[in-house]
Amino acid sequence: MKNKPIELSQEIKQSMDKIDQLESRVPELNYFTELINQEAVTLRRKQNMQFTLFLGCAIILMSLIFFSLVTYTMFFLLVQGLSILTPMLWFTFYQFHKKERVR
Amino acid sequence: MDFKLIEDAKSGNRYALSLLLQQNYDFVYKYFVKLTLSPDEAADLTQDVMVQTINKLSSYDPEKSSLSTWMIAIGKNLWIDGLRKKKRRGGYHLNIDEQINLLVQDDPFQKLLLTDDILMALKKLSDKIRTPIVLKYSLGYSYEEIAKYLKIPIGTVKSRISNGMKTLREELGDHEEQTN
Repeated sequence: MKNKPIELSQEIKQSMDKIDQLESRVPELNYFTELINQEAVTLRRKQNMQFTLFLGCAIILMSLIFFSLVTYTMFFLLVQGLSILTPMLWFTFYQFHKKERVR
Repeated sequence: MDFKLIEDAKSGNRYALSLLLQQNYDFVYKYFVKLTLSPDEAADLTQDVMVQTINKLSSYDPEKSSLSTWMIAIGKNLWIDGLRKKKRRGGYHLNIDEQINLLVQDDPFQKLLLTDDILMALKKLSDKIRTPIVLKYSLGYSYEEIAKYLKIPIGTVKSRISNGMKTLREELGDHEEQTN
């Protein structure tokens, strides 16, 4: 005999409901506490690694800046000056251009 | 829902968080047993959900949904990612008989999966066909919700359910004929 659609869907639901009736083996509370502690250690390690990486990059960058300042003082000051002036000039030009467009 | 427990857990109380995880473990595990029809896969997914809950609890808002629903949503994403990886990797898949041979028979969930004809027939279907059927007829999702859940068009959901039910009926019909 063939199953009708409604009957089959009901049978699926009944079979699935049997899963709800079973008792699963929920781990002890200690297991979860241990898991949380483990995750805290992993997170701390990850943060330490990120901090080390950041610190490494910062030291390299500072060394380069210091090296440039000592070795090529004028060039370094020029680059620093340009790095401040360029955005300021660009911004002024942009504002001026915007006002012109509004008129 | 114990809001005090959630607040305590969010503020760093590890005991409160352990209690929350333990309280929700059974619900999450059974949800994934239904979805995957594999107690081992469900246990792995539940474990991953527990870890993600520990790491992401600060972003949980109790006013938007219950904790179990939020945990299921995390697990759903993990499961779908897993399915995509499995699909990309391809490779060798065990057939149903090989899977049965590997099952540990003292687990009540595995015993049920081996003795229930409907669950056995469902397990024979591929993930992409079985999932919409389970979501519709066991977990009560609408076609729209399934389409949103699986990120596929609604027409695809309907056709997969229809084809899956047809295959199931054939499978169960064959089984009945064999047993008679």
